[in-house]
Amino acid sequence: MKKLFFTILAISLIFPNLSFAQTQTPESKIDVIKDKVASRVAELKLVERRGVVGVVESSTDTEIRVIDLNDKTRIIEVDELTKFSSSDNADFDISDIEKGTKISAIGLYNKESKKLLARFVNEISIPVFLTGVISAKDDKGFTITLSTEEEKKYIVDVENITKSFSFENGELETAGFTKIETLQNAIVIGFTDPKDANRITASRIITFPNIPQNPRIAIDAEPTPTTKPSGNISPSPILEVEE
Amino acid sequence: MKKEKIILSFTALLIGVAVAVASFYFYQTTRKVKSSEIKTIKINDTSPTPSSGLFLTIDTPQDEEVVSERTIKISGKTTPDASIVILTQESEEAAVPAKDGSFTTVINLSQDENIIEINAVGANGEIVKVKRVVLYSTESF
Repeated sequence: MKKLFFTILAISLIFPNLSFAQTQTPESKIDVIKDKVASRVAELKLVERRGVVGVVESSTDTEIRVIDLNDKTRIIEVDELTKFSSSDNADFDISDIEKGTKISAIGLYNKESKKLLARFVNEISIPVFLTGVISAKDDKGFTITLSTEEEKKYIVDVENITKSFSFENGELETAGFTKIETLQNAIVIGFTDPKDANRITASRIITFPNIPQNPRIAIDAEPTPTTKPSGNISPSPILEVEE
Repeated sequence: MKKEKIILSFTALLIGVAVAVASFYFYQTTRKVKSSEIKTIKINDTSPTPSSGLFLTIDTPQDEEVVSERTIKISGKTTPDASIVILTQESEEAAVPAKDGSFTTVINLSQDENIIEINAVGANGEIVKVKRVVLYSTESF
């Protein structure tokens, strides 16, 4: 009798669903499905497609920490489904990612953990965007000096590949190096010289000839002299900025 | 005997501290400072550049958005007399805001990452900028 009692007790403990299967009503089944759908919806709302661009701070086999363009540290998770690519290296993968590597990552961003589960990681080059006032121009060396609001000065190399525009009447018009003048506001896009952080090779320069100099930037430079044909006067193309 | 010694030492210590505090308080309250020794610190209001009220807000796109179309609408608001210049790694676009300061323009995207910098240039030469990262991808994941 005792054996029978313990056997029934054991079966009912091991297979609780079996013993109560007959008692589950259709309403309770609907509730279970409702709960499953609700949790799935919550899960979908928790993640979204997102992309991050930044400079790698550190990396492991499963995680990359980058400093994004807003100077915030972002965590990118990688797994066996993450695909890596680079225009310079066909075999680029997680082992090639080191401090200073510039990457973009696309994947699923978890709003709760604030981590991005990367599906694609790409090695990229990030250009610098500078705004400031042209404080000097070197016609012989084809460089300009750009002074910024942060009180920094950048030497900008104007190369053959550099496209120059001037903003006039609400439109961007193509302009050459000769049209660039000191004390004009300018936006420069380019790439930093690996040997000199204050030297930029410009890919594009946009100047604003009809807008006054940014009042937040103090410049001591003289305006670019206009080269009018005259007998004796030959203005120097190089302007020196008083420090 | 030992106990008495400890109590006496403790009492003496307490009296010593009390006397020191009282002396210091007396010295501070009776001390006279010459007017020549008093230095006046003046804090100037340093606002060399008056604010022009230039602002820039961007409605679309959202930062770090992933899109599957090659073009994207840039819309936002600034001061009505400002000029808008939008730059990416590959392209540049200019726009003029409406009377209420709102502006909308469409730019082309390149493959993968697009760093979009929206600049509002005020009539007085001030520049305000906002950066957006938009990634183009047709992959499903």
